[in-house]
Amino acid sequence: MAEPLLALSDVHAYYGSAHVLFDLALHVHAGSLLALVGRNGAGKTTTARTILGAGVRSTGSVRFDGVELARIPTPLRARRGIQLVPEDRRIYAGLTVRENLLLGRHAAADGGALPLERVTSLFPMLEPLMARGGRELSGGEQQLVAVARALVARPRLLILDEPTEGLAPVIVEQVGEAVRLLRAEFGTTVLLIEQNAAFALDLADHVAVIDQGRIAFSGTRDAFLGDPTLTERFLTI
Amino acid sequence: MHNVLLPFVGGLGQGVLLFLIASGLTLIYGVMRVLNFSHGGFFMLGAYFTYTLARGHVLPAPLLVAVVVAAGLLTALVGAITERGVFRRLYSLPEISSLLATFALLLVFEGLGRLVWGIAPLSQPQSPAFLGEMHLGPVTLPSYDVFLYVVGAGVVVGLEWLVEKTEFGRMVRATAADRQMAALLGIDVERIFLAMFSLGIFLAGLGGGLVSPLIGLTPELAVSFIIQAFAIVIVGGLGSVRGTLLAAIFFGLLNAYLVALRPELADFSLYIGMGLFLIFRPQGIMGRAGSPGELAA
Amino acid sequence: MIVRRMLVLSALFALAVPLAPSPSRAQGTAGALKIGLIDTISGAYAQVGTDTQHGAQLAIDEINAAGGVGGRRLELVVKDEQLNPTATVQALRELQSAGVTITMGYASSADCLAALPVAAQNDMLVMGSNCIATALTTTKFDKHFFRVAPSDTMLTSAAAQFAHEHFPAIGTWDAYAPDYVTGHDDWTFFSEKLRRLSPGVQTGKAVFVPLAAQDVRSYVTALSSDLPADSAKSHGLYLATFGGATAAVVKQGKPENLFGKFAATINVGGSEPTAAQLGADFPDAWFVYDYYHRAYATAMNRRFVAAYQKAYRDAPNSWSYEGYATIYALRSAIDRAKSVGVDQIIAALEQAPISTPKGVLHYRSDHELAQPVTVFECKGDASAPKQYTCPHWAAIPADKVAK
Repeated sequence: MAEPLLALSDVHAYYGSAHVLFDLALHVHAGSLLALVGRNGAGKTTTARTILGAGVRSTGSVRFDGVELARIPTPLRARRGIQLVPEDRRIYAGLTVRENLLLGRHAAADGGALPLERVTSLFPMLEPLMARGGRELSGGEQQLVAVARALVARPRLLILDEPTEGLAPVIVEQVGEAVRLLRAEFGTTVLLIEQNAAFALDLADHVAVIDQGRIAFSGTRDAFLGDPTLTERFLTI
Repeated sequence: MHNVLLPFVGGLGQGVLLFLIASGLTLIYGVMRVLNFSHGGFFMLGAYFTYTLARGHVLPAPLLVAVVVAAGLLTALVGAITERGVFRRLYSLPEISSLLATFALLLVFEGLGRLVWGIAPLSQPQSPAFLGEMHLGPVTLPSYDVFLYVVGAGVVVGLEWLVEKTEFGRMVRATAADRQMAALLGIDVERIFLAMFSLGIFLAGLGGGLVSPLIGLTPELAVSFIIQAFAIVIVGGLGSVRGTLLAAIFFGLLNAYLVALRPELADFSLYIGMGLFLIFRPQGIMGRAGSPGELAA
Repeated sequence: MIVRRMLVLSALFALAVPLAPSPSRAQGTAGALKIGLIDTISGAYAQVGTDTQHGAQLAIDEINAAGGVGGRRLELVVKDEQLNPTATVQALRELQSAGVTITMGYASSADCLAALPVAAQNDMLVMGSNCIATALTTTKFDKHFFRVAPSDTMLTSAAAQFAHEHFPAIGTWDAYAPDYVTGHDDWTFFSEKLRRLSPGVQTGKAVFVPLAAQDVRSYVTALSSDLPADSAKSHGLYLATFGGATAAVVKQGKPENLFGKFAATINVGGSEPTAAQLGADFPDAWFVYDYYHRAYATAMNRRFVAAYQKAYRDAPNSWSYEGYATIYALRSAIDRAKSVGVDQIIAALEQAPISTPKGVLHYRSDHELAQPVTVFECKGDASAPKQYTCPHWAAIPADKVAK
């Protein structure tokens, strides 16, 4: 079997003296969608940050496309093709939507950025927002802009951290549509971090469950859904 | 042209000079969130570099301008080295730590100034072309003041263009607002910091160079304008270039009118101005209530 | 690394500065009579202390070469007060614990005023080499204080005397002065004395500038905007700034030709280093201060100037003179007292003729040295080797400057 696009092994992570991830191992294969599910505080966001080396101290190995990332600073990891859509979206309030989207170009390989027309044709509801300021957007619009901004970089691995958090069900549905669309269109590999397991399982090929900083399960979606003890333990939140 | 207009001309010139000194300070705070007390040290270096490059000779105006720009660039180089060596370690520290560290740096610069240029005051003569006056209808303007207006306007327009209209400016604004997200988007935050720090220091050096023909040069220059500059930056709304310009002109005019009309109060103009703002608009001219201003031109 | 290197550099610098200016080796001989020099040898007014030290050291070297005082060598102990009265008092206490009872220097009047009560309490002598506040010999009088410099009243008095004698055609005097009590008081004193001497003379506009102001263009405008068209014939300027404040008004007044709008400028309290600093930019102005090296034709002055030139490659200025004269005043007193006890020296200073380059002088009962005040004209001159020349000088005799 080919080497996974992203492979974490023996990963420990710390905030100050607090030890949050323990001996974590995780594989994401090219073209797949891995849903990383777990309770609040289980270490999902820390895992995402560890992959990008942003704001957390970690040991162990993070390999992306065969390259060890441990000593590579965050911006260069991003330029290697990893885009994180953080859970609080972090749209620039003082910049317009257009400017927010243009910022996505810095992580793209030379000439590889997705033209904005392409983005708006994929997500037509962005079109009327382009000139609007970041602080004037609703939560759903922010989420959409955040995903679109990441897409502009045409990432090889897209990490979505709690994309449905705080969104109305109809918007959650739209976000799911967007993820399907970009997988179909670009074959993007996705690491989907979710507390909303129903939403995640609907989209996932593979599932990993994280609990108290440790991987409690890792396997295919079908294997996960086929094990009643697992679903019992991790889906009843 | 009498009592009403005269202080206006003088105050405007004074304000523009203060703006040049304060603009780099606000830029550095806006992007890096470091209150750079050592700014005055760089200002002093700009003045001394000008003196050293001109060797204290009377230069024709274009040459003096070139020397001032060169002095600004040299100062920026010193700034870049300092950024790599010192400031980089301060970005993640609380503001009080960086304030102390930059204050220490200010004292170091003052000491280095003494070591290199000595204790006796030095004087850079003004260019003859800048000693004249210009007449605009009833208004007589000192030609150096007019030149300062042009430089001040150029700096405002240039910074506004850079920050608002260029791709670099977009990266700068993103870095200023959320440096971690900027890094996640592939922006080389360290390089942005280095560039913006050097730019801010260039402006300090330029300010020093432009002041040098007006005053006697001593290492104390490092501390003499910094309090005023801080007051202006705070009143302007930390991080706002346009607010800094307005605040600088406000202070320049306030001082000039007090000198003309109520001279016994003129010495307190800085405190009067700050007091008015702290009472009526504590967030500063361009700041928004409750948060330090985002970087804005 | 850079931080550390900078720290090391600045530490080295802090160590080097107090040692560097002294041209002679520390003698440290047991039995040497130590004289504490507390003066400002760093910061904007560092030249005051440095030049005072140069003059004092020269006098000490001369006296030691001739066998010392009463068989004892003199030794200077230098303390930097950084123009900060707190540091002055600290330095005084350090000298006291080192057993030094004779002190001199004191760049500013604030330093003298801070030092005097402490010195009086501990029976130490304060030779005010540089400080000029009149209060030190009037309201704040204490027998432990002897002034070497002329008081500001003497300077202002000399300025009025000189204005009266030398510029009879000037009908109005305007003022540009520092905004502190003495700045205001001296201007009042000047105008009153001048009106007593020449009843027709008027005072015009007085502009007072904050001490720390660097951008003074508004003040320049305030001063020049009210002048009549013929001011260059009829108005004189009383300028009471010194150092950086003079540099600022000279440079920022240039576009308006501020000094050209006055028939004459008298700069009370200013002196040659300011002309040296500004070079060709310096306007035509008359300094009223302690000393100018060409103004005194005594044998002692000739020797002093020659020796100073040799040691420091420059002519002595007022501060060098004050350091030098202080040491010789002390020698005159100790020779007479045949003792180094403070009370004996005080008694001797009150009696003894004091030999200085200005001539043989006497202390008055208020411990003010009855002495001439020096007036000398300097002006920028791009063709001169030092970019300025001082073509005229005069000594206003002691009896004309008394109170």
